[in-house]
Amino acid sequence: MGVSHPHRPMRDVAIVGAGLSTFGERPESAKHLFNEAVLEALGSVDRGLALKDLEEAYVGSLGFGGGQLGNLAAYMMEQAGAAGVPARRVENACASSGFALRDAYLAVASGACDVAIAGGIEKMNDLTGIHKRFWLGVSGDTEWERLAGLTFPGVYAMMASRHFHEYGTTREHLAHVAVKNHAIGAKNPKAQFRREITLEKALAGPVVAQPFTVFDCCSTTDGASAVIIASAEKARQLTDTPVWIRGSGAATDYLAVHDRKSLTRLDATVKAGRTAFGRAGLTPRDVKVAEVHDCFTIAELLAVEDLGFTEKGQGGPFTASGATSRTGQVAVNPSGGLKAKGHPLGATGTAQAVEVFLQLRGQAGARQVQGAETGLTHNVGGSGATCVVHVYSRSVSG
Amino acid sequence: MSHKPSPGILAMGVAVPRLRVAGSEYPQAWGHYAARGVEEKAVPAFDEDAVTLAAEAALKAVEASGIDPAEIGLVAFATSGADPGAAVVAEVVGARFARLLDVTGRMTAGLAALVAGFDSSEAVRNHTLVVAADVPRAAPGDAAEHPEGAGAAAFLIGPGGHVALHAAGAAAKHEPADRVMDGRGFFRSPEVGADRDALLAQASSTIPAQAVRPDFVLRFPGDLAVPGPDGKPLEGVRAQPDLRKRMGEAGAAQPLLLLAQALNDAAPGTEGLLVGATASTAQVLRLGVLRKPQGTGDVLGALAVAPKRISLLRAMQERGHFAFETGIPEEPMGAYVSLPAFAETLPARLRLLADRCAGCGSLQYPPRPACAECGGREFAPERLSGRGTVYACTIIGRGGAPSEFALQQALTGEYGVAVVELAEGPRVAAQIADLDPAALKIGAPLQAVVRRLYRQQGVTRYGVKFRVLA
Repeated sequence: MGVSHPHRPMRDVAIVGAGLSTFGERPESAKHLFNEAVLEALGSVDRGLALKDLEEAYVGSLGFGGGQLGNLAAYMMEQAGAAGVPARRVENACASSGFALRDAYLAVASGACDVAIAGGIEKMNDLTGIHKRFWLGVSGDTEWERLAGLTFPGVYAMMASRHFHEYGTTREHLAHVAVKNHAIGAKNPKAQFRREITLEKALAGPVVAQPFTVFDCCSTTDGASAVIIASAEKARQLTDTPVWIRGSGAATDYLAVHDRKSLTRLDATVKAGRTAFGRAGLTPRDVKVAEVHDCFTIAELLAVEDLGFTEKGQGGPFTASGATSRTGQVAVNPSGGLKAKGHPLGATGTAQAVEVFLQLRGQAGARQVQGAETGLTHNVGGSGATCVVHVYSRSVSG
Repeated sequence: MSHKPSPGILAMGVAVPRLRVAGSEYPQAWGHYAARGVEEKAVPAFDEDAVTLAAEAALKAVEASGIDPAEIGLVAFATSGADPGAAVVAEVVGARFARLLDVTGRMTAGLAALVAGFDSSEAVRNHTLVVAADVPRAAPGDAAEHPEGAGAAAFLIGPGGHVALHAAGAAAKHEPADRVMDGRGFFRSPEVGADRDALLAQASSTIPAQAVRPDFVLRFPGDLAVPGPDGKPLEGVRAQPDLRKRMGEAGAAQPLLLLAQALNDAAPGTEGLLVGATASTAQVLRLGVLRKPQGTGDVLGALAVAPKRISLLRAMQERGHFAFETGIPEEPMGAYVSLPAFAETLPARLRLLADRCAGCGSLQYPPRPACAECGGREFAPERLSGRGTVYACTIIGRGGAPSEFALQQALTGEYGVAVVELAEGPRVAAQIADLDPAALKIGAPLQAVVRRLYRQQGVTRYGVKFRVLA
């Protein structure tokens, strides 16, 4: 159940264009941010593409704040100048646009269309503080987790408490994730936080939920992202350097952490990763650059373990050793991750794909990972209730 | 005609909050202290109220009695406030066939409920659960606030009970309630009142004269003079227990707390009087003690269990003062749990009812439509023990609370949350009641308690929290 059929014939699919709005506290409304990402994505297509060439649109958004909660995709597309295109909102919490990408991928791979856009949009910082509280954590289990007084910092903090207990992970291990991601995020002109932090500062921040300080947690972010994907034939017409989506895997799990067998593993990540690697015919050892869902520092440690970059329980020492830095064994979150780049919920999944697109094409500037042939994105909804993993390569096979 | 023995008190239970504030804090804060004799008072925590204290005391009484809660025919809840509590108490103890009676708005509500409990048990010849609980709350700065404490006492009455009601007398005037709620949710005393002593004399005149000097004479309020046969104030053989000194005045619960303490200490084969009078009502109960009921009525003993002393300012915050000033709204503005959806979960939250899967035998808690192990859809309800251990935990710092707990956090700061591994196997996320941060560790033993979760749409939502056991 849940594992896709690895041998069912599907067409090859590539990303041909990618765009990202600047992340942070943006004064503009959502439609302007989304338009910014769409325009950049279209402009990045080497031999040009027009809005009218888009056959399908998949827009990921949680709908934070409730603004244009219904018919959001149609609204975003018509405001971006593409009225008429078949569009739909894809909602899977913080994995919304990761799933939007998967849906777009499946549509192209199946032969239903040749060119599709997948994007995401979230506007989080235009609410009053108290209104924002009502919207934070709405993707957790509402009846029990939330009514126990939890939002996601608390849920992930409890997962961290188990990881400490079972594997001896420490607060310093967590802080290494924050330091690394802030260091590289400082080099990303579109990141929300463009400043480095020290280990001492990360450890000394105000406590949000023990053992997390504010530096263990991502922020609330306004932002949008979009990628344009195409069939092999169309992709080769549009660019000489397409980024091939070699595998897509997804899974779901219990919303409430108390219903899961383990708190130190995201089963949805394990399943989605295995499916994506199986599809791609690649292994974790092949991956040179990975954008993983570090909504909290512990989440990055869980991701590098659950995706198979290191053994279960070793995420802390693995990270502290520098293995996940830009020049390490696998560069994890060279964009700065959710931690430093920012986490506009529904926009995060395709924002990760934007970074891998740039990295595999050698266009990532000061944060370029050398020898980035194969990449991965890992997008999680809630505390692991949904997960989608994509594996990408510069080559279409092999 | 079948004959069943007369009803009597079979079992009892008491509950007092763990927090205390010293009376000596008042002169500096308010310039005077209007509760002479009250050395310290019990303060309900932010998540405690009359209903949670009632539930705690009621559960103790029912469990001590050993009876099947389905045999309880009436649950009577008494408080001087306005909010009913019998429904929550009935759910917590599992009295699923009981009629509900809420006696509210009077300081003598507990006495009236107790008499009603005896009457009901006599009439329908089954068990009655009577619980009086109160967290009186006059406005800060009002001298009436100074003596206010909190607590609850519960009595399970049934055929063949150990404490019989020999006689009861009552009198009332057509006057406003003893305490009325003002527009801001504070109690205040009515501006008119009848002669309390005259009402008491009238109530006493309807019951037969005492043959022997009573073992105890419990007076509420304590300065009440109970007329004896010779016209002099009547005194018991044993002095009235001084609960007021140690916990303040627990409103309508006070006379029943006094009774619980007296029954706890009473010798078999004695008699006693329980008397309460206010400006509008008077009640006199004559009780015969065959032997001590099951359970414990030791209020003084309960007060000695792990008290935590807090400042007057903190006490006011725990009482929910300054809630308006936080600016935190009660009405939902985003995702929230509707009242019907919440009500659907009440048996799991208040009674700890899990579902045993008919297909694979696994236990589902919280319950779900399909078994997580085998997909089965047939279940039998099963009550959990409420014992468990900490599987994972955190302490939520300021600003980390969801909107439902934003007010609690704004007023009382950090709180603990755990994934609880229940003794029967299932896990559930729950808040930690009465948090001691140092004691919240993986593996620490826990016990379930019913507490106030939050208030929304004008309805207080109650649910299970867990207390770390020493």
